[in-house]
Amino acid sequence: MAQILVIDDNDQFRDMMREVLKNEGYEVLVASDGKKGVELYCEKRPDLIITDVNMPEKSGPELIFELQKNFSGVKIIAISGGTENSEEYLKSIKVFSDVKHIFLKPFDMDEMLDAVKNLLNQ
Amino acid sequence: MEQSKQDKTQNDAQYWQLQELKSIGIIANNIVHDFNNVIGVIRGYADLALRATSADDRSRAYLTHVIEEADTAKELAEKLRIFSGQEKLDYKLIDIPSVAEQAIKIFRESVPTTIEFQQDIDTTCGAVLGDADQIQQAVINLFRNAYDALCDKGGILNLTVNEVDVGAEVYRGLDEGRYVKLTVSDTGCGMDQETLKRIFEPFFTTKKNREHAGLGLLVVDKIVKGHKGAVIAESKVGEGAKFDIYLPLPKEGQEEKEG
Repeated sequence: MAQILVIDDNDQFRDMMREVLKNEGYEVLVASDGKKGVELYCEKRPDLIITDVNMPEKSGPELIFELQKNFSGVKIIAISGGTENSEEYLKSIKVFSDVKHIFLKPFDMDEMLDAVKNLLNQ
Repeated sequence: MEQSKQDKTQNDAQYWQLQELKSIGIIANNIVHDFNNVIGVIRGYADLALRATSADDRSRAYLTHVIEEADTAKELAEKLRIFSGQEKLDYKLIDIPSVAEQAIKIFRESVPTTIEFQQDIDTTCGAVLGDADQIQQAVINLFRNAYDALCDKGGILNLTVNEVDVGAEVYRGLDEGRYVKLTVSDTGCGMDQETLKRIFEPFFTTKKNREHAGLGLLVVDKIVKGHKGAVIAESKVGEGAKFDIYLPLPKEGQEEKEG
């Protein structure tokens, strides 16, 4: 089964995402900030990343920029606390232009899981 | 002459009110962000529980209600965000010296001449990745804090902007590297160490009048941290106060990523 890396500085949200994805049969790795997320990606090369946008150490945009620069075909879903960062606004930022799915919290879990499935099948 | 004095007083009051509202808006925005995280967790676990229940389990209806109410809470949070008047961040390369000079120009018109402005701005500073309006708000909030310390007896408000190298020993929250440093200092009454420890707390204020919500320095801290920087305060009683804002200069290639 596919391996998914979840990166979010909110402990409860990260734990919840891990449970939801494990329940669907995925193997789940977690990281609490962008810096640890990049390190874990380099070490384990998961099939897909779900990353928060606003994080300490290294933000979602910085992480996405670094991974896209150094690895081809990285599959990424971005999630955001959805305040000033609306989906439209995030899409307008260059680093998010190749991110296929952006979800604003709190999101519909069926839609998230469909996005995960679609991206993994590509 | 009397009329124009009245107009100025009214304009000043409106100006301060606007600054206060902007500060409250930024705090509301942060609360909405945290609120969305909490609602997201509630909704996620309700969804997980729903998947674990059989079709004829009556708790399915209860869990569906939880999810529906979470979605309602999300709409309320969105209304609060709009009500707070916060526009989306406009992240791009910005010239801090220009932002600082504009902040002085705006602020200067609303304070009495008993306060002397001094400035030493290095206009060759590199550009910082950020939102110009937010940085300007942070600077104005620092000016206001300095003004509050000076308004009774007058004095000097100083602004300095330059580039510096930061080593790990300066402040634990900062990575080593090159920064634009913006310093606002005053020759006011200063603060004791107990007050200094609390100045970034929400609703903390030493001002006797109730016009101050006590959010100004908290907003400065949040804005600067949002730009991956730090604000450091120093003060002693009778010796004024100094606030240093450190904003990181982008590393090579980083300036392209924000479009």
